Amino acid sequence: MGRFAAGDYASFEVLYGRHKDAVYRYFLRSTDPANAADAHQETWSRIVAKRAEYRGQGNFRAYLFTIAHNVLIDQFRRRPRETVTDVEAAADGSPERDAANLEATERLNELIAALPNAQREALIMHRESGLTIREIARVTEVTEEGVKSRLRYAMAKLRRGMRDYV
Amino acid sequence: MSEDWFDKTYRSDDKPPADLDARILKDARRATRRWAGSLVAGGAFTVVVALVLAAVLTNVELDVPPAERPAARDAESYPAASEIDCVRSLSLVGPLGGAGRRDRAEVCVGAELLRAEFSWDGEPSCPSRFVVEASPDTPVRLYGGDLVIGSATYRCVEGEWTSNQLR
Repeated sequence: MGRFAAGDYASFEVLYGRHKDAVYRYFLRSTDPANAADAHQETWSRIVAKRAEYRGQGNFRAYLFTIAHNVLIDQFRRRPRETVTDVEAAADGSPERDAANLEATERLNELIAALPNAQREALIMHRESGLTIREIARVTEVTEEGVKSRLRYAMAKLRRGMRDYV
Repeated sequence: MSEDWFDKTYRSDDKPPADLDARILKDARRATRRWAGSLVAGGAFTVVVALVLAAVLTNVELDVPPAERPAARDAESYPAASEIDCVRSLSLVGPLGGAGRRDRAEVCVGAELLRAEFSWDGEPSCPSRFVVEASPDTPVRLYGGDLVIGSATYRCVEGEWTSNQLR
């Protein structure tokens, strides 16, 4: 990032190649594909625009996901997510019907999408970004205990929603 | 958080579409070029400003109005009297040091300079010589107690040569 900040475009290509999938999935699990693409692009645009301000604070991945987190918040403010946020409500069909129509993965993705924003974000960030609990706490501006709690609740809901698939 | 069922089921192979990648990389490349361009432009601007400033300062120094240039200087700042090739020489006698005196001015007009050397009738009244810029055809004469060289009038006042061109 330091080299990119100094004007080396090739360094950006390396950074982008290394982190793009994690960022994209972070958004894809948090919103619909169209908004995920917008948020993904906005995140990288901010990285480019703010490159001169980057001072090597923490690791780049944490910095990147801090920006992604802010982009997501901005997006939620502009376009409130039009999905149910209750896992039990999302699983409104019978297990038999769901099993008939969806693969387990698709079911899990639905359940993840139905998690409360904060829980989903903690889960995806932990899963996709590889950030530590402490780093997620810093990025999302909550305590480490808060992050752990969100992860526990999220996993408990997913486990309940997936009990007929696993 | 590691749970087998989750790890097995969670799909983690989604990637941004290729056109999205291309768009982002293109924007970044363009922004980097713009930034580099602005750096170059900024550097060029600084150089231009420095050159303009230097030129302005040089002009200020060179563009002294002729009227303010010293038309005459004390002898020390000019070549020694013997170094002026006299194209024309004059000997003028008059009351340069005061009324009733017969002071003498020996004037040597060179190609670019005029030297005047004074012999005092009595106590020295002013420095015994000065050198001014002049051309071989510059008219020189005495007018009362004044030495007139071209359009300039030199007068011995309280021990100093004064004129509209002498400093």
